[in-house]
Amino acid sequence: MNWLYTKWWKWLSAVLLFYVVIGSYMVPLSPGISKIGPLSFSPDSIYTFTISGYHTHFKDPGVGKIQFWFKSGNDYFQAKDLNILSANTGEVKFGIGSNQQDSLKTNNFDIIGNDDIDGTFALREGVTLIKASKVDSSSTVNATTGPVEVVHNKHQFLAFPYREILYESIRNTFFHVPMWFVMTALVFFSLVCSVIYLTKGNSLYDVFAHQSIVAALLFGICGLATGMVWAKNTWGHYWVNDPKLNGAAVGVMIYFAYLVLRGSITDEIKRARIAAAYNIFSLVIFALFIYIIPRLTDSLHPGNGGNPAFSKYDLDSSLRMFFYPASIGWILLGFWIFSILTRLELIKQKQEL
Amino acid sequence: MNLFSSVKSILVKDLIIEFRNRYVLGGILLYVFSSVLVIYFALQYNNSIQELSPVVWSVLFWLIILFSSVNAIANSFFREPEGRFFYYYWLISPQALILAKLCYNFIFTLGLSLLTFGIFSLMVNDPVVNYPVFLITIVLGGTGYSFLFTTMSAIASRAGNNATLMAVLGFPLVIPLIIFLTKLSAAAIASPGFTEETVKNIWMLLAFNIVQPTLALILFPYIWRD
Repeated sequence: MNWLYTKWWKWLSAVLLFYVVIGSYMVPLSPGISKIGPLSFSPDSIYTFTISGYHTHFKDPGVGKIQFWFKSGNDYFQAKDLNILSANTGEVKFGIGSNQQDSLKTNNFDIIGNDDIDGTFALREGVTLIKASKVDSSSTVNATTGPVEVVHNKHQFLAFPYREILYESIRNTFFHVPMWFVMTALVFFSLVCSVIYLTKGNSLYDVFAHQSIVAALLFGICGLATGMVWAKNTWGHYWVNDPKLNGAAVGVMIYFAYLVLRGSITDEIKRARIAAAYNIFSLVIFALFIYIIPRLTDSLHPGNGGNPAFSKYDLDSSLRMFFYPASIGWILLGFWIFSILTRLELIKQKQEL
Repeated sequence: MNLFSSVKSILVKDLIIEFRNRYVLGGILLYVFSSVLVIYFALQYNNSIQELSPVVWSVLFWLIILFSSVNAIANSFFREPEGRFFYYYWLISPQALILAKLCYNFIFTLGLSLLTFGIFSLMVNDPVVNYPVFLITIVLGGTGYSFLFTTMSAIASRAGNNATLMAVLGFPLVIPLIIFLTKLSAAAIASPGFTEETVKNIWMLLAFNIVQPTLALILFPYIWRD
């Protein structure tokens, strides 16, 4: 009971979230390649490719040797005659002989770049080779698998990972994902309070259960909203058919039903007991639903297969620096909001007496 | 009275009331019949009965059963007059009452599902090839629906006999059930024999059907007490 009124964890939450909000907007993305042109080429002639980097440092003093490779299968073909136009653009010359075309594992070339500041950065399947119908044996064009010499593989500054599809929206990880952590934490807290209420009959626990559901719904709606904006940017639609999304929608619906149920009973003790029973019943069914169904079907979300940009979703150390504080901070904020709601409710009850 | 005999007497009492009050039974039958008729006409006048896919067929089928069982089960607690619960309270344990209601609604919903299947296959069509899987699905579906809505009806009856409330409380929770039921019955339409996925879905439904009455038995005493 006293913990509702203690201040230190609220301060902790505020400090952590301040750190997360500032950090998540100040830290840049790590270097990447956003564009290359032309998108396709034929053998036996030299092409000039314009490579547009994203957040690269080609003009910086300590950049060292800038190199580009065209990668097919496990072969790294060296791009030649690098011409740096600006900090983010460069031109390279590259061509491949028609006598080489059949030894390639794939016609889609990954573009890989490296320098001392930006480390290694790449664009997956950026350029396509259109194979020649005849092999021209007199061709002088010949791509060489150059020596791969790199000083730094990793970028030399603090940055969030550059991922295709996600790009800058990767920062939403610190806002969208913890919303669900908070909702889950509050909902399970409410379950515990409901069980204690039914066994002990102390009406304080009913207030706890009720107000934590209200706070959980608030975070559930925020989670849906942040998720919808993110989904529009990455998957193209505000709402996609995804088991996690649908599960979330059902969860929010169940807890609105809980509030409707509370509203329709006037007798306080009866309301508390029946609401507690419904809370336990629905949460157990919902937990079965949410933990089993996403495991049976594919999900667009990370960790369940499906989306290539996410399938290697491992929290990078730079993300972890903010993700863990964000999770703790948001959960504490959730309980902070819960404590305010509870105190308000207790004051209201006192006034009615 | 011990548990078994009190369950039996409540069950028998409910069944007798049902048969004496035939208009309730007739009302539910008419409800099923007219909903099938609505679907039949909606499909017939778009000439799409022949091309009804297995999934759409099973969704329509289970939705009809969903709505008619909600209507039927709503009666099980709403029908009892206010004072009678006090009388029961002196006579039997809450577990006996909820067990009797669960059994009664199970029998009722099972009958309802079989009947819906009969009318549906007569009027729309009967694409089922795998009757063992389909029968298991009907039994598990009837169990799931009846257990869930019996509990919801008990809760809603304490909140002022509000039938809307029962739907509001029950529908979000029925979604997992509907997903597995439609999957299973679509499988029963599409292929003979038990595939690995069918068996997995049957286990899932069984899990739901064990968890629900267990929770109902534990929680009903708190719901019931005044």
